[in-house]
Amino acid sequence: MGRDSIGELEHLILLAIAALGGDASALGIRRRLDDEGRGITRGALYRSLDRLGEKALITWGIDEPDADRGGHARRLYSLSARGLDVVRERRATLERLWAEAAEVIR
Amino acid sequence: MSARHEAPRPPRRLEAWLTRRIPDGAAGPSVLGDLHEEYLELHTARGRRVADAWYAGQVLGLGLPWAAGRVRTTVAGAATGWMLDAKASVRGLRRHPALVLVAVISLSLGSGLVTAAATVTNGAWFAPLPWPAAERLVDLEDWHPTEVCRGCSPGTSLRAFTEWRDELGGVFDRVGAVDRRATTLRTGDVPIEVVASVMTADMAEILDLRPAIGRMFGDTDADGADRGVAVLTHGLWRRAFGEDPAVIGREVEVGGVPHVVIGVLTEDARPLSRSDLVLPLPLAGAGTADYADRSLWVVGRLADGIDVSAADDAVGGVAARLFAEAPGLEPGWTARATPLREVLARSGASPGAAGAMFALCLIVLLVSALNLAALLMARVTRRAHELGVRTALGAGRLRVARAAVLDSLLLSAAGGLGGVLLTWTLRDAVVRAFSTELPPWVSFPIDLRVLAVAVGGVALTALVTGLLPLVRSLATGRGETSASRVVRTARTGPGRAQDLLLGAQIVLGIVLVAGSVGSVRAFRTVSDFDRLGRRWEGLANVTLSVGDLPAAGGTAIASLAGRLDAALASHPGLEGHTVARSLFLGSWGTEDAASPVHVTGAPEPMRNDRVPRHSLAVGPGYFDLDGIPILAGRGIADTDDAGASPAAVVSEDAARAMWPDRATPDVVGQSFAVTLGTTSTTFTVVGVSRPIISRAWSESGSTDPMIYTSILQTPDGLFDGTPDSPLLLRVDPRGATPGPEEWAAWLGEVAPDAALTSVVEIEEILRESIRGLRLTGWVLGGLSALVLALLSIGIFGSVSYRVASIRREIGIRIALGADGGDVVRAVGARLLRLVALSTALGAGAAFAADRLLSAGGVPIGNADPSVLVSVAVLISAAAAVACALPLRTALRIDPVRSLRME
Repeated sequence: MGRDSIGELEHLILLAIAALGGDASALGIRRRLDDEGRGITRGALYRSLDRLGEKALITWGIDEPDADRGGHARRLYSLSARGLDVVRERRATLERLWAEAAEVIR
Repeated sequence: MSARHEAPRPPRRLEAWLTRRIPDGAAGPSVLGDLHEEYLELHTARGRRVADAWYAGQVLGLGLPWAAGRVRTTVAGAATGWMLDAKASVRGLRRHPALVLVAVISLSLGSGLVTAAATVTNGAWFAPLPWPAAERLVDLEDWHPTEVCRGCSPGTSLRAFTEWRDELGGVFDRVGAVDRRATTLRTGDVPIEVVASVMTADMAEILDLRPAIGRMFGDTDADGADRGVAVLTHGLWRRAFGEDPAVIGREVEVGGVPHVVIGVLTEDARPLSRSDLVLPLPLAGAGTADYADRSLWVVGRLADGIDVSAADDAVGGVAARLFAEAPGLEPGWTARATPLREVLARSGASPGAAGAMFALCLIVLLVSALNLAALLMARVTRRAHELGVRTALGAGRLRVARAAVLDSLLLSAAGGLGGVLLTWTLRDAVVRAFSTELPPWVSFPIDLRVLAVAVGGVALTALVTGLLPLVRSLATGRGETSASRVVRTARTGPGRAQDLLLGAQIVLGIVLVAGSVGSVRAFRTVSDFDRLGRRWEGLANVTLSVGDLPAAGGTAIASLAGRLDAALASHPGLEGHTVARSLFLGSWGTEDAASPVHVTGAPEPMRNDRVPRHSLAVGPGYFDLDGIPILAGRGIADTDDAGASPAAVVSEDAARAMWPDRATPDVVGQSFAVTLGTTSTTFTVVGVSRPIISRAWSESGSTDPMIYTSILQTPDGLFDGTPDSPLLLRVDPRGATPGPEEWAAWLGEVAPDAALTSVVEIEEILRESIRGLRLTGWVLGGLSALVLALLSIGIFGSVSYRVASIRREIGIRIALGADGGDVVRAVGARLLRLVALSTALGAGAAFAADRLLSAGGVPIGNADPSVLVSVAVLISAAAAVACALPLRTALRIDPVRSLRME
């Protein structure tokens, strides 16, 4: 598998980050996926985020520490340029396949 | 002042624990923040307890994998060094498959044999008994300080048993009695030979005998009914009735008496001795029974709070009082209580034989340890260069030692595994080989602690000896570099340790092989049936159970024997025949007590230990049939019947013991009397026969003095009283022996009062009688051959290691102008001295062990000079070859190169 190849869960996380705009915290991503009926354990989410960071598909910034968070800062994730390319490419692949499969799957 | 309001927060300890465990620089602080945020939401919605519990769950879910990962990393870091060394060790060992093979076989054999021996010994003497409250079970029996010989068990009478049971209710919560009888079971035309345990209901309860189907009997089942009741063991139910549940209620004949089957025991039932069926013991008439008729085995279960010594005092007191009042009983009879475990252990195989076997296995273990030590010493020498390089590259002392230790550990682990497999195999083989002889209460749980100690002991020996060269290098040689020290010391080795190792191997090898060869010879001796002094080819024994016939009084057996003898004479299929039964002419007394046999004219009766033990009452034709020559006078004849005066034939050795001053022909016409109670019978000697060996398993070669009486005129009381003693028809069937069905049919016509027990050819009986010895012979023969092979390889390794290690010295000698012959003589002389000294020591030790074992009554030795010389030659040859090969290599090397390599 190449460096840019991603699994289904990573794909969904990338899309959730994009959907949450500038407010994509780990907690927000998990809740967003939950809303879509795609529950995910905390451990799996953090491991996926670490992996996407290692692949340079996402970047993060640190929010101000907050008393509601026990004084711990929040990471806010966003897609890197490479992450955007990967998501677009995945979408194009899906659309091509859908177009060809549309005759069968209506 | 109001309390300051604090914002809720997760449990501090959990938070702190998680903080320490999640990785720095990754998502750590963010994760803690996320958890905190969710905790607050939950706290608000569902309260603190739920939130705390949720947080604890999250901490576990997140923190444990991280913690485990950290532990893995730490352990992996520490293990890497060991793993690398282990891999290097495995690679090194793979290059020496012969070394690995010998080491593993050696270790497997040593540890496996010792554990198997310990398992069998433990099973026979120390393993817990299988019955409930077994530690409270005691054996109760009559006892007399002088009338009962050492190790004898006189048993107890029915009368004494019932009286003890009635009087000692406070001491025992149950007292049961059992009698063992060989009898026959007839379900169809052909009776089968069975062993019955005739017991009280309390004994069945003590032994936890329960019915799988049907019911057990009560004490009343034995008395009064015209038909007896019988409970089958599971084995007999399977063997004779095909596990048919309809057997309950079926009528069978036991010893010719009708019985109804009322139950079948469970498969795990464990009677005191091997039995096929269980019958109730009749108690009627117990009050008037004879105290001297001691046929019962009595077992009591101690009441709570009573110990064995209290029970011993109680039963001794009651018995002494009852026996003192009994008319006709010798004064001094009492009774004693002994833990059942002790009594059963005594009744098993001789502890001396097991001790010898165990000692032999320990020697094998020692040989294994020495072998492994020698091999590892040689291996460390070979690895000297590698270890030196490691030291030169900065490896610490412990690291170098670890590399050397791993060889031992790996080989020990493999050997230990082999030992476990061997133990299992041997245990199963022993159980299979002796399945018919093992008492039902014996079990053989494998003692893993012994195995661990055996493997650990060998591994430790190997470890210490393997490390010896290294330890020495670390302790001496100041001023040298560590690397050169390791190499030099590993190469030269600790000279005295090598000598001791080699010497010990040779000594042990000789002791073991001499002992084993002695035992194999003993087996070969007993396999030679010609030495028994009889001609038994083609003869068969037809044994009959005569049940309670002797109790009928008069001369019941003489009459039956007469009928059978006459009927056999007209049997169309027989060339020859005779009738015989064992006599018991001794007494229960100690060895030097007076026996009932009194030679006419002698001042006093014969001493108990001089009385011919294996005497026989025989029918006419016995001496012709068995091929025993009559040296003077005549054999037992038709005319020696109830109407004639009692006649006897004595063997020549018995004649010498009874009439030491008379020549053999003059013994004919002499007489002796046998007194039982108030009845005395005087026998006149009508002939003297050639001595025979009566016990086929005896390997001493000494004959057994015999007295033969005529079975047609022998009083019933003189017969061997043990219940298993059969009436024997010995026949010469001219080839094909008629089968049991034909004999049973014949017997039904001529003597319906006797039941057929078995029909077996005599040669088969002889082979069976030495089966145990044959097995021992095979085991010891195989074992000694294997150990001798291993030992030769070990000695080879040890000697070649020695020669390889003095290569430097050889180089110097050659460089100084010595020629090859000088070197060979110098090296050879040193080794020769060592081998000669060890061989002498080994021969001495073998001789001493032989004497020791013989004195202990274990006929295992037989330290024969020719055996010792052969073993010494073989071991010296192994040492010579081992010396020659590396010596040749050393001599071929350029001396300068040899020196430079140091």
